[in-house]
Amino acid sequence: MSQAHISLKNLRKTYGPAVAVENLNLDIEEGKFIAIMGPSGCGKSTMLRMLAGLEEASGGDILHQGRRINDLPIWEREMPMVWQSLALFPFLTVRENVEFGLRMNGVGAAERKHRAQVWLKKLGLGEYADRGIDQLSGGQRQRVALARCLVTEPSVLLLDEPLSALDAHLSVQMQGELKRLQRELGITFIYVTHSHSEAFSMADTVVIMNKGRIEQAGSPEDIYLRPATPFVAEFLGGSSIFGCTVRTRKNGELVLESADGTFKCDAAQSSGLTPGQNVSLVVRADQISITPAAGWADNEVSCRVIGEEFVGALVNLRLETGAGTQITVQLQQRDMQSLDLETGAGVTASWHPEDGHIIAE
Amino acid sequence: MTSLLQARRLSRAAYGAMWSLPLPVWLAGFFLGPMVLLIWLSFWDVKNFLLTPDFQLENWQKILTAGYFWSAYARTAAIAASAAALATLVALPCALAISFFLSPRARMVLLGLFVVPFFTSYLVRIYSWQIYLTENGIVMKLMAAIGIETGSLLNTPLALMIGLVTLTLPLVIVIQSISLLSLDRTLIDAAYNLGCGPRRVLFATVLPAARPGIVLGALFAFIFSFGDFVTATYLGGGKFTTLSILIADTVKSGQQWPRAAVVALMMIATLLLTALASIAYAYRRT
Repeated sequence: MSQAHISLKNLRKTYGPAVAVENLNLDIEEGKFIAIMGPSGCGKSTMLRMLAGLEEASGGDILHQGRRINDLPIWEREMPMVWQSLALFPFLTVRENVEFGLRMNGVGAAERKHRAQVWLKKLGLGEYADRGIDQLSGGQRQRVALARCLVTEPSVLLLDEPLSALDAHLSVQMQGELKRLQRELGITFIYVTHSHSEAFSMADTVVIMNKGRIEQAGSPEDIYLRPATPFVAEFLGGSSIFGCTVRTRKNGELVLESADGTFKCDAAQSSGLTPGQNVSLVVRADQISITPAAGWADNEVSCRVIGEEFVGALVNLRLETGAGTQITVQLQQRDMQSLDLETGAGVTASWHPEDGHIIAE
Repeated sequence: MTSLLQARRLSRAAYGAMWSLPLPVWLAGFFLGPMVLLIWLSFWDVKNFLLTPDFQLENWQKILTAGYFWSAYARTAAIAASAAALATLVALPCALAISFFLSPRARMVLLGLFVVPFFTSYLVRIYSWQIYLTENGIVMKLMAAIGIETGSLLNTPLALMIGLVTLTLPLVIVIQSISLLSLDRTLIDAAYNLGCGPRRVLFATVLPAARPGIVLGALFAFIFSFGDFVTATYLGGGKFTTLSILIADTVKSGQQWPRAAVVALMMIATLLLTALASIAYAYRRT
């Protein structure tokens, strides 16, 4: 078995009685793009800061290529970080900022200048080398922060919500560039973010954290299609979640009982479930259909329209069942128009038995 | 409707004007006015000890070609620069300790204590230094007790430095501390993160980042020392003729107000240039 590039073993961080990170276990393969995601206060930044050495772990181990680095001081970890605030040195020029890490590691002036110039060119900043940081745009500063880290040729790059200060358009552009850079360089990127689109568009592995724990780690597709916990399904949004009890399992079909009625579900994914067990049934917004009246499909719930939001050509329709469950349905704009719905109107939501995803509690 | 809007706009303008008014009044009454008078005065004449309005260049000629003026000028600049450097060096460790090693509470108390010296008159503080430094004074006796024989410390460059640092140190410490406290701590983390060890972080990151405050502190120390009369008179014993002493002497000897005005204008010009150069340096990138 190949050794993981970076391993976290039972990693803990407590501040007095408050637990920031609880018993974290994670293996990160070399050359992968890992996105760590979660709501604010979930411990994702604390984890990153422990990796960089800015916070001391309260327990557990951090291994870098099999070597325990818990006691290694920050300045010897060689894990440069792109900061949320960028933390560029305002008293240095662009070139001097990029040279800083090399200077601290005793690289000679001529080589420093050469290597800085190579990276500035690579990131399209060649002509800005002698400018001050305050003379650059947000996107250019972002690139200086990247160049400052990458010029030291690290094996891992830490990124702490680096794009949060950019406007949406620039952020999307930088996402593409980051992914391209990571592929070209083949180094490990550990990227902390609260943005779904950043995590899912760039990462090979997405780690979802909540309350100091890892809820799920997997490929973006895996997490999107098969959320492991109700929290993940809810955090990703765009899904409707029904609290159910397993009633029977027969003929390849699972029957679930909920406050909103009886639902059928594909039994293929239900191994290990026993009658009487509580489960969450998750249905993605794009798998739910809307009809004006009932009687067309297996899983039907009658609802009331409570709102709608337009996302380009798509519409997210918000519904509420009689039992108070919130349902989100994604429709094409033109389908929405043909349905001609108003807030408060009654509709029937339905989905195919094979489209429901079951999370055992 | 329209008139209501206009009335509101007018009242807002009036409100703004009310708050803005003191600034031009103050500037005109206490800065520009006296300045114009001073410039005008520098062209007057003195006849039989009487000031006479005139427009002649003799005062400027006389002062700018006088060796005693330029030697006083160089001496004053050297003393002020030394005092500024000394105050900056003495203040820096204090400001670093206040900003990085003290609890917020201790920091508040200490910064408060640096204001206390301003409660007593500077003149009183300098007089008490006179008692310490004089022939057979406390300092001399203490030195003798540990086997170091000194003469009177009064009227020495050391006494001058003690007096000027007494004047400027609290202010320099406060300015440096504010600058260090407002420093973005992430910059220090970023420096560590890029391989900068704790021994280098001071010179590679903290001091460059705090440079505006450090330069500003030194500038204030220079300005106060450059124009100081009290220390030069009471701790220097008039032995070191500074520009302030020169002004006093010029006025006393023969009512030469116009020539004193020339000296004063030269001082103002020097301080203005020093301030501009310092500020340019403070915000320059290396």
